[in-house]
Amino acid sequence: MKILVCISNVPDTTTKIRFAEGNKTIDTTGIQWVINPWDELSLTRTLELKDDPSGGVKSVTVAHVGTADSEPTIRKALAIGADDAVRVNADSSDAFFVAAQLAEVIRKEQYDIIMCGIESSDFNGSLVGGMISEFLGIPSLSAVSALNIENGQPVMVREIDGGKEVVTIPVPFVAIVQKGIAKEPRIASMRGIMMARTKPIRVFDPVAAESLTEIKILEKPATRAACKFVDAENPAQLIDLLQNEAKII
Amino acid sequence: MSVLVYTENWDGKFKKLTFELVSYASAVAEMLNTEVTALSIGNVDEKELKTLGQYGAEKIINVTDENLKILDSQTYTNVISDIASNTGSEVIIISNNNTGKAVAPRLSVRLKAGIGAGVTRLPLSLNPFTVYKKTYSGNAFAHVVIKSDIKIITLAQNSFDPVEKPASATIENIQVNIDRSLIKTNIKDTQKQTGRIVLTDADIVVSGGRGMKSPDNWGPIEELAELLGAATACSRPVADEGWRPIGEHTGQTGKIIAPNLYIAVGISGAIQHLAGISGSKCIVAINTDKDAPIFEAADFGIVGDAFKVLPKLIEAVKVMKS
Amino acid sequence: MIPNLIFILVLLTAVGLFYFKVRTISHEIKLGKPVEIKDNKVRRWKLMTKVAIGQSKMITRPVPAIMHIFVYVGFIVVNIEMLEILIDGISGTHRVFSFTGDLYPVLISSFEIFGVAVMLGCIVFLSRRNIIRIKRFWSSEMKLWPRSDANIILVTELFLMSAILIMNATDGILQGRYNSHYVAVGSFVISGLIQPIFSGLSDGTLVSLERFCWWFHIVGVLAFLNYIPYSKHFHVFLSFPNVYYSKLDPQGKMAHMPSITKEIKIMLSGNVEYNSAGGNEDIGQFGARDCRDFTWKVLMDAYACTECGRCTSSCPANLTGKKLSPRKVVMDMRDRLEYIGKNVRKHGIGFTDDKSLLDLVTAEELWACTTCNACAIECPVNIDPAAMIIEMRRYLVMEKAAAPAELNAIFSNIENNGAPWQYSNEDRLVWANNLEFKNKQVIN
Repeated sequence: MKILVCISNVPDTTTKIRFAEGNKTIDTTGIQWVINPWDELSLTRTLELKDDPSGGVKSVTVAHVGTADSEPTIRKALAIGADDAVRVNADSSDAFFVAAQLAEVIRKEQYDIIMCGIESSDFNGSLVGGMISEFLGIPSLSAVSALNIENGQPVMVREIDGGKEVVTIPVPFVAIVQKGIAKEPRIASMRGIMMARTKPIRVFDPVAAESLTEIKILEKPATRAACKFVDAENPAQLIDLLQNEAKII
Repeated sequence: MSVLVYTENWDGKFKKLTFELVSYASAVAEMLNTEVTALSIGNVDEKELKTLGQYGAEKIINVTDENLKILDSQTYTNVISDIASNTGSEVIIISNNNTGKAVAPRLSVRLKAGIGAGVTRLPLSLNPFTVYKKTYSGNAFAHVVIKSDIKIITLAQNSFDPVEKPASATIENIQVNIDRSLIKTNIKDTQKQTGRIVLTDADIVVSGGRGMKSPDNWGPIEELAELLGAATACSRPVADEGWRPIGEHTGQTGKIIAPNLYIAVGISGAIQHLAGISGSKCIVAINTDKDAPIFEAADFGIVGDAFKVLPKLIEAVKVMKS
Repeated sequence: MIPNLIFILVLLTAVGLFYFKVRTISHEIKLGKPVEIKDNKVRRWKLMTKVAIGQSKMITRPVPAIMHIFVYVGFIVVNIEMLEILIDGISGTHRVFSFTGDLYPVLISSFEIFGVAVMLGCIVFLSRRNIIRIKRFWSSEMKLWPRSDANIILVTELFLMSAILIMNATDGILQGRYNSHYVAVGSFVISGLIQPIFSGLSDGTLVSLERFCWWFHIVGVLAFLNYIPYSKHFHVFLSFPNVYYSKLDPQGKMAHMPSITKEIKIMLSGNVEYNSAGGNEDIGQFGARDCRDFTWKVLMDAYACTECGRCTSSCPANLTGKKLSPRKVVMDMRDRLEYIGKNVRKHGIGFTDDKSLLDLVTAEELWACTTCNACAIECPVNIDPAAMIIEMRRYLVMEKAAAPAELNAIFSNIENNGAPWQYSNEDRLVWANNLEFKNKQVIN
């Protein structure tokens, strides 16, 4: 089985967000870039499946749409254990554009399972995975919290409101995975880091595709008013405030 | 040129989020000077369908088919896109819940419709069509222009209040023919968690963190939640340790929720946790450490020992209810 | 004549068997990676004199230290008597050293006093192990063979010393009976005290008893000699080279890994060549997974272990209930090495199986170690269990990234935030905001 893991390059989660000139994009000075946390878990699970010889996973490829600036992040993915990588050389403008590029990569080379994190910590869209599957006309399963291979067949757990379902889908398909897919992200071993230098990153030119949306302005969230403190000796006052002032209970 | 809203049902019943969607769609339709059409898929009886009319749905399309019992993304996308094309909808409104996340992106590609995902307000302008959504896990908000002719909006839960706006609500029943063999999703087993309030639906949430010291101390949290009709939640270390079910973990990599009231007990307020709750209308924090970061995000706070404060709060709520 | 031939035969067999077994052990030790330890010769001789000969590390536990001096010195001294016995056995003489005249009974008496000291030591040790049940002799790794081993050694020594005393006692009585063979060489102080027990016996019985004890003793010693390399008692030989070759660096100093230094320099230089297989010459494995990944010195450590348990009883992890026992790590190393050695001799140097030392020493034990080095400091023969643990950890982290989740989180945080915690790098100096400094410089 060949598995493709789509990864996106995001600022580390502790980054303080500031805006660049014009407030259309963020100021990237001093930002530490990392693999999107959901994609990291997605990659970890995929590598766990590859480690198990009974699963029949032959290769794990990572794919990314971005400029050469993203290469360190792609190297990290290779260091963690992916076999090779593909980068489409283009700015990731919007989800539709990104998904179109990734779909083209997948069309060129046959993959059995395409793994996508359910959202990215920069644009929080939850879009690319579903879009890829539609471009390719293949099934997709979202909110996947577990993926195992039993007797050569992928078996997944999908989260639904108030419960879960055990689901199988014939390959090829897109698995859109969320927390629970792997317990914690794998990190690169020393050997992995050294090996990463030798693993190939193939660079493709983008195909023509539109972007259907555009960010016009970024703004800071409204600051909350300062916290109103209630005396610990008199918590009943809090209930009173919630009932009469905030009017929520 | 109508506004189409997909109204999901659960075992034939609508939830609060359904009415949020219809109210939102109704408001958007008003901005566009057009009608709201609600699309319901599955076995919903007429009485329940009519309730959509209370919130502004002028027309209700009722699609029933045995084969639609399974949520297969491709099949649902087919149905919704067909209806959207037939009704000539310009704007399609779907929830940003799990179903919405499964279907909306496919729909976007099918109809070549730009999509604003996780929108929290009415469109800021119509020309260009601009929506408002959170980015960077809540650290920034974006004005996003949707350039395509057809637009899809997925609405974040609990960001728009249902508004009663009685409308005609004519029901049109539509038969669709689903080829069973085209359904690729194969459900082997279903496990439902009965009884508990679904966390993402809850209006009030009571949440505990490592400050509760041990899973044995959760009694007061559960009691307070029960009295308030709230769901229970927890921070990441608590879920990782196995003190509480993983489904209760709220935070950046757990559940993102936006209830009306979020009470955080013994939670320090790490950035990742705040990312999961920053959409809450009102945040209350109880913590022994007055410098805990949670107080910077909270609207109300008590600096004190949870084990002493919670019992008093419980008493106060009991008094309030009587 | 015949007895002499038999004796020579027994002697040669015993010494031969001993030689081959020691050679086997030497071969197993040499399965380890090569390392040259030819530095600081004077300092090493001094160390060996102090720690191995002088037993300096035993002083922390005075009672066993004194008892051990008894058995240790007694063992050496009584073996001078062995020389006489060997010559007697080969040449047919009887008490050949008696040519020293008046000195002879003094010599033998002092041997006897040391012999009694040995017996006293053995009795005290047996009671510490079996009656008082000192904790470090009863840990989980001290079951079955290791426990029997200790008791066998102590009981055997009691028997051997008793044999000498009985032999001397009966000899003394026979001297008084004017037997031409048993010339009057003088009376011996200790055995003289027990003579009355045997004085009622006939000459014939006494001779049989004396000869029996003589043969019992020498055959016993030769048998014991061959028992030693299969037992922890081997430390009587191996402790000397083990201390000689032990680490002279301060305890906290760890060995650098040149391949890592090289890799970091490449990364920091900015001249990284990607997609090239070159520059990645066979670095070899990081850390150690199995016995042959360690140096021969570490494998010698494993064979020098006396199983005394001082390492484990001073280990803070073990003392607070964690699974780690440094002694067990060393014993596991030795057991695994014996297994590998046996199979290499049978199947050749290329032998591999799908098990490793990491199957015997679990990750839980390895990660419990605080690297305090108490085990290495306490060991009377300078074994370094901490170094073994670190090498196995290096394998787990650098080859497998199999560190506990908390450590992996720390690695990620250091990589992304420049600190072990999940805070933004920009907040590093927030703690200093309200503090007064004379000179405050922000260094990036």
